[in-house]
Amino acid sequence: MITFAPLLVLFPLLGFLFNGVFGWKIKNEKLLGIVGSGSVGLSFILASVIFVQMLGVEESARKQSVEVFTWVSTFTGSSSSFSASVAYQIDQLSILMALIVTGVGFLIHVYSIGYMRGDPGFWRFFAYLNLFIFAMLNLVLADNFLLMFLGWEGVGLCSYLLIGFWYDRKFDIGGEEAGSTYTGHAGMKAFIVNRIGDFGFLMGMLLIFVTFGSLRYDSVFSNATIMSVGTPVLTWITLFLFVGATGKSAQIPLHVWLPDAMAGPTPVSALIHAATMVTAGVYMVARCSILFALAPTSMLVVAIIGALTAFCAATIGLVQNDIKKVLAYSTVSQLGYMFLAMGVAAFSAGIFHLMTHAFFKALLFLGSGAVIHAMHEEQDIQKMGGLKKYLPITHKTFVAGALALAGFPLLSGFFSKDEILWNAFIGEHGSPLLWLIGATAAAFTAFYSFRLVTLTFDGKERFDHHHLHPHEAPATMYVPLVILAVLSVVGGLVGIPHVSQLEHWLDPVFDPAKIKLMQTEHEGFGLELLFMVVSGTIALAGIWAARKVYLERPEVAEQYASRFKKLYRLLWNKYFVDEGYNAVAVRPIVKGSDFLLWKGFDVAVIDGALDGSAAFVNKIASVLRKIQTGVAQSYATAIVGGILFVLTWIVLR
Amino acid sequence: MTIESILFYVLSAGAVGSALFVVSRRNPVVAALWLIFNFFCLAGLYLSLHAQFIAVIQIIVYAGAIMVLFLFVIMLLNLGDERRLVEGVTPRKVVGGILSIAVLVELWYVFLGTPSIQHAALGNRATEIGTVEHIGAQLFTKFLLPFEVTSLLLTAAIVGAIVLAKRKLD
Amino acid sequence: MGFQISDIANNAPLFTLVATGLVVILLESAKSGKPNVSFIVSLAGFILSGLLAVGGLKTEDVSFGGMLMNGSYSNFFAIVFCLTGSLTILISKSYLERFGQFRSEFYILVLFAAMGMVLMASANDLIIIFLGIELMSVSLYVLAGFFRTQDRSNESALKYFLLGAFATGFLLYGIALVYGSAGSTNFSVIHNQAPALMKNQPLPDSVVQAGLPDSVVQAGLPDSVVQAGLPDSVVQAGDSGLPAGQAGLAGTIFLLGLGLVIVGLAFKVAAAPFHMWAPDVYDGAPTPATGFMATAAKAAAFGAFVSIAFKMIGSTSGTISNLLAVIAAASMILGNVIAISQSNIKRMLAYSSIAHAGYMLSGIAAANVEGQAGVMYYVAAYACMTLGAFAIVSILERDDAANLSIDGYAGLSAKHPVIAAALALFMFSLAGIPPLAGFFGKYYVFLAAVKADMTWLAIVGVLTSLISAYYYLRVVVVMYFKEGEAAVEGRIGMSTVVAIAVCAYLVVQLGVYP
Repeated sequence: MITFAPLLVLFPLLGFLFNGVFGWKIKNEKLLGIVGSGSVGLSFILASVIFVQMLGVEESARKQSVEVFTWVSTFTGSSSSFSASVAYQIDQLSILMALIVTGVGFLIHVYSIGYMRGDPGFWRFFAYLNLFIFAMLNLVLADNFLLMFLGWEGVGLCSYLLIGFWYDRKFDIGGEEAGSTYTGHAGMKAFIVNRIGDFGFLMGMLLIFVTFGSLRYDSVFSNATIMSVGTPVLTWITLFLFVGATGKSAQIPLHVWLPDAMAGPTPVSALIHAATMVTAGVYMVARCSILFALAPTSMLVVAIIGALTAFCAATIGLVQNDIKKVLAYSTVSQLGYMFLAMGVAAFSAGIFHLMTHAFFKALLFLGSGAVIHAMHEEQDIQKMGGLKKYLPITHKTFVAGALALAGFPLLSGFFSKDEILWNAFIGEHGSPLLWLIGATAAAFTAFYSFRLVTLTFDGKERFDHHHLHPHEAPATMYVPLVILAVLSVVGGLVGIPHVSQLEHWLDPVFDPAKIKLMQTEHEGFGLELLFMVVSGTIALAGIWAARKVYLERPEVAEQYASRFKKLYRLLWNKYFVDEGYNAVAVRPIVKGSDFLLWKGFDVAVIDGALDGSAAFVNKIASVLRKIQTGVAQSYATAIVGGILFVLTWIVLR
Repeated sequence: MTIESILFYVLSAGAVGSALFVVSRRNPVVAALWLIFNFFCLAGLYLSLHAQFIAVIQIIVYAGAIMVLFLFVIMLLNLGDERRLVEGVTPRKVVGGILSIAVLVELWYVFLGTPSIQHAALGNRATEIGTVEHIGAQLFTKFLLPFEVTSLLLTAAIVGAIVLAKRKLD
Repeated sequence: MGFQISDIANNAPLFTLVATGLVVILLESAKSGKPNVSFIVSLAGFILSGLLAVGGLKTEDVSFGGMLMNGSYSNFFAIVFCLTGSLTILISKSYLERFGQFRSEFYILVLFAAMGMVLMASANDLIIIFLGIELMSVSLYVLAGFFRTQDRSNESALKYFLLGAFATGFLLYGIALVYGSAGSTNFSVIHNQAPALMKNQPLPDSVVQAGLPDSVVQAGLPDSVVQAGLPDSVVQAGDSGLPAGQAGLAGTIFLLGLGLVIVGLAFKVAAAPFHMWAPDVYDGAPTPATGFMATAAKAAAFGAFVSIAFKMIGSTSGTISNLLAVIAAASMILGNVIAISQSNIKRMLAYSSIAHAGYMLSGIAAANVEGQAGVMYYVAAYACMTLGAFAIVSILERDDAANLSIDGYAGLSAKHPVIAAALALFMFSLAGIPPLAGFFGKYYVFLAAVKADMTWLAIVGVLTSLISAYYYLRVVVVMYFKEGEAAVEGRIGMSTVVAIAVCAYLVVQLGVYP
């Protein structure tokens, strides 16, 4: 069955081609939707079959790689030849990712059929979604860095296209510099920030090739195992790769694009900006675990950045009013947990959290989509309330998702988050401080998720009844919600410490790294149990506080907001990161380009150039004069300057 | 000081001086005449290097044919009052001048900083090399291709001239 | 005598172009005013020449007494020139018709420029490089000023000519210095002496003697001629057995000469700080001519550059490599940063071409095999995407030169989805997004730079290409995400569509299966 693995990738591509090429002619939304979702569904079925088969074989036989064709092969005759293939590696990690991508992806596709009904860009939407799944599968299934990079760029491109999908809509970036901007610009911001991350990935990749002479995982990782811990070049490689991961996975300081990305349609937020693409960075770090294991400095950086992101994003989430923004910051925060897990070498725990997060965050986004749909594009939770009775199914599933996110005991988020916190405390690279940051963030998480639930579904109705008649979404929308809700509730059971098999399932992938770290199984089942209790208490306390404040005494929140005005302002403005970037990077570059370089040399010339008179000779003369008094001389001067530089360089060599 | 070096310095001074006059004269006709003088000085330099053929060509082609063309064009265009073309000293000129002088100094430094090369072997054969027969033989053997390419270059130039100068656009 | 029949066979692409050029001139004089015939004949000539070049990829030979080097390298470039040449011709037809300037001279000049380019890429002698550059440049000067009733076009031609002549002066001076110090203009000879010259060692006799190109010796010249002059200066350099001090001087002069040659070529590829002419010239010239200049001429200059760097100098010089690296970095930074603030698409593409010159130069600066291969790949990729972009610009340009502003492209996607998609493709490729051709070009040259221990250069390159994403994407954003009235006036020429399709195909093809 594994030989059919390339089909996994092929189905969404075919879906994309169908929808992209014929879509604009076909007016039948049903057909488009079926093709779009069906192609992903087929991939999911295939992935499941492969997964079941893998369960049946021995551990050593589970990793296989299928080559489709040699993609790049050049530099023959040079010392090291450079080649890369389109080849897919199926192993425990990649098949798990593929299952998540296709499974959640399929549900979101189905949901989109209902959500996007009647949109003139229906076909375009499905074409992009399929293209995204194609790129994402390339990313997770690739057996070399180059193909992974292709997928990496591809998902970025799709994200850009999908964020800007409703390019003519206004979009509020929030904060003090609030104002309307076009969603197209939000897409562009996402793209540019991602490019900074790509820079890191590309540099890491170049260094990997120079160091190991190959880009195939197998040869890179097996060569890496014989290197010693702390080799400087590995530190550089991993740091560069981590820059790439921070860009894609929206970690500090490159997290700014993700909240803006919420300008896209909600299914896109669910699929790309919660469940799959943003976790690519986590996946990449996990994939390169052996490299990171050899670079303790990088591990520390990853852990710190992860913890800080988890904390800061959670605090920002406390005060936001846009339902999707809250979820966006929550996503950033949860991704921070995953990196924290990577940084403390709890790779399996990180991937486990990735999986549960995919379930409940997709659920929450889709639920918020249903709310927004029902409220006719209203996203401000201050203008909602009491929706419980209008949207019963959405409400129940949303609460399930929020409980999972908050870490309510025995739901999926509880186990995965708890395992990360436990490792942050006890792990080889962990420390009580990291645990403290993580645990505080967990309390905030519980608080903001139930602030969201309470303000949206409970309490008084703060919207205008005469214009709004909220109603439950169609079946294509709520069925995926229900499925995801079930997964969010029970999904954690596969990863219960000491009971389940997930950890051991992934072991072969992470063993080389663990050997390097000389990680031992930690004894102390009792202590672990204690930590579980603590985690559960934190979650419950947070939930209780939120219910108390927003259900019974809403005025308390405002009192606190005015008492800690500065703090509130800081959070409301998201720590002023955007403003900082504007001041430090964006404006100087644009201005510098504008005034110093271009206007100085060119504008005066061009603007004044075209005042010639009628007669031909006079025209020539005017051009001549222009050249004599104008630019050509300064150009020549520049050339002489250049020559002077060249000669000086040579003389002083 | 041999007679050759005296000749060299005189001719060089003449060439540099006349070149300065070419660019500093306001009247184009006067400038063109200085250019002719410059060509003659260069021809003299070539002669002193035993390059008779080039010296002769320099005079016949440049000083003879091309300069006459120049003068014709200047007179036909009838630029009129040359003061229109006058400009003051601009910052750009100053910068340009400084940069140019810097380049000159640098080259000077390199060439004068070390003793000159005695091209003994070349010197002996120089008389031979400069002859018309020799140049002809070279042109049609070793340098046949460059020679032929030159003809393409000229063809392209002629086509270009026609494009730019044809009276009627069709 | 100096050449054999095989010389002509080896240079079949070149001679095809020459023959075509002459035939078109004759046709033009015979049946004046039938530019359609010239169009077809020129196109056929380019295609034939390109096919011959494909056929000649395998043979490696020297011809015309060591003047030309034929083989995969020169033929690869010949293919690029023929491709860009034929595409330019395709693009130009409807464009020239629209502006009422559909004349045969355009094709003649393109053909002559292409001859010069082929010479540059196959040169094995500095003299040929020089003549090739001149042949190409003279044709391009005129092409830039082809719309002689337009002020813009005139200004463009005049600036290009004046500055070009200025730069050529330095190039020639550089060649003279190299000749004076190495005693020859032949690459093979210089290559043998370069290491010694650059280490300031006296030239060992053996090297000099061995340096005589075989073909020259075998050329079967009468003895007297050989004695008298052929490798005269070479023999002289050996004979005289320069003392150490003088060799040191020769070394410095050699490097100075190289530096000036580099200046001349850097001008032609529009690398900073010799780039200033490019935006004005690109802006003013007729768009197909601009496309030709930006792609084929740049490719040719790189063809010569790579020959000089690898065949003439070899990979031994740290000084020259570092110099090139600095020029490359400056070009990448300047080009990309200034491009951001451009509102005219042709000027934007001009600055982008400066930046791309920087990327390619970093491949040469790396001075390794990867660098050479990377530059060659990059040249081809760059030619396709840039020419494609200019083709689209040429469709949209109107009489009054309006509609060149990027904002004028607003709403293009709604009116002409296919054209907008093609332009988006070229922009993505220029920005270096995989799996398009532009990405692999950058990837190869940066890889070469990292391998040559010039990681800083690769970092500059990657960072500036990040900046570049901004302005390339702006075009896409404007096309797709803004309401506007962008529209094509009149019919879109079939030939232009073919050209765009070919470019788009190649951009994807080179990327997906390089």
